[in-house]
Amino acid sequence: MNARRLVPILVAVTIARSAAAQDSLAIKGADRETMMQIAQVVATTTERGLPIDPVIGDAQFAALMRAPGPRIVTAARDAAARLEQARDALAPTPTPGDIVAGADALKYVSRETLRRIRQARPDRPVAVHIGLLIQLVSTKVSVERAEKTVLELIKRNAKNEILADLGNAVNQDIKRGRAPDDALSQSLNALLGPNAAGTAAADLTNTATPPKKKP
Amino acid sequence: MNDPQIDPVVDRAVRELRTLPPVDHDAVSRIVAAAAAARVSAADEDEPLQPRRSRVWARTLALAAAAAFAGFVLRGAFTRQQEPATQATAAAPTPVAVTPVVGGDPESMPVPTAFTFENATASRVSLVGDFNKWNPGATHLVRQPGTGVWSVIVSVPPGRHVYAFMIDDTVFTLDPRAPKTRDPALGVDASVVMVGKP
Repeated sequence: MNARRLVPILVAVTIARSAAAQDSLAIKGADRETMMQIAQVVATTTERGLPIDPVIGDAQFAALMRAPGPRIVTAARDAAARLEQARDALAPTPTPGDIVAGADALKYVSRETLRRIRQARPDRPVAVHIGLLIQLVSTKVSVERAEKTVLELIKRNAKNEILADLGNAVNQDIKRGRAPDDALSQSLNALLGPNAAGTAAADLTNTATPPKKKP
Repeated sequence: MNDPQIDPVVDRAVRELRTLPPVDHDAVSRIVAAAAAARVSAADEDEPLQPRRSRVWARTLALAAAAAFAGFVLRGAFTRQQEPATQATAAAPTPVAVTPVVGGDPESMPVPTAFTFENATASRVSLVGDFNKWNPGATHLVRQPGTGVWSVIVSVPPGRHVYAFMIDDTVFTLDPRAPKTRDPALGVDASVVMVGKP
């Protein structure tokens, strides 16, 4: 097939794709110029093989908060940048869920923290572990202690439901007025049981420095 | 044509049509001369490539139009498929597919998660969160008859999720039963939940 015959097909495919993409890019509350810039960010994100939902989601969230157009675009660009950084930090085989969680985590922690979590659990999904990390850090537990807790739970092969329960319990305790560190210690003792609590709680309530990165 | 089964009237008509009128050669000459005189520019000359290019671009435009039409039709079909699903959920709270971003690992499989909200005066409540791209039109809660309790079950990927409710499509409201978290970028609060149990 020569180039002259390819041109109409490429034009047709491009138009069809852009028309179909309009729906998923409908950001409620964003003007046309903002939409076009977000569409460019989404296109670039797609080309790089990254999930686009967080890009659209962050833009839509900013629009819901009635942020001005440039702020909405910035939200989309920042999300795209974090996705790329998260994929790199969680290499070599992050799931889409890992990347999305990692991108969210980069609002709170460094890429080094994500790398250490990946090293501790190299061949399994880490989205829930990263979710717990964010949950703890966002409730004012120190990054060091939150990371140590997550790494210890990975070491103990804690299941997703334990991690989720821990994150929810800590947050609920804080909502009831307990201090973040106390809430974490209390929840660890409650979830890991009396036998484990002696070691786990003792280990995890110490705010020791995080493990050093392997050379 | 002399078939006895053919109507005589039809047979006569056919014979009349087969009889060609005499050709007026002078008239033919005049028409040819007039056509030659009317050719006033080079653009009227026969040019082999021109019609082919026109055909190519005509095909391009036709394909583009068809593709655009197909895109909009597909978009419409997609939207229409989603809306009834959400409304069906509104009729009976069942898990809603919310385009989960997950891998093929069992640990990454979406988890049906219930969201409940109480508001006796709202006429419409929707769920917005990172799992549905904060789209206010994606997930509507169902009001339990005779109460102010609204609920929906949504399949979300395991992990931490932030969300809120939209009352009557305009009021962004946190879940009073859930802890809240502040988005560091926008400085806005949202409710938060961790999902991990299948």
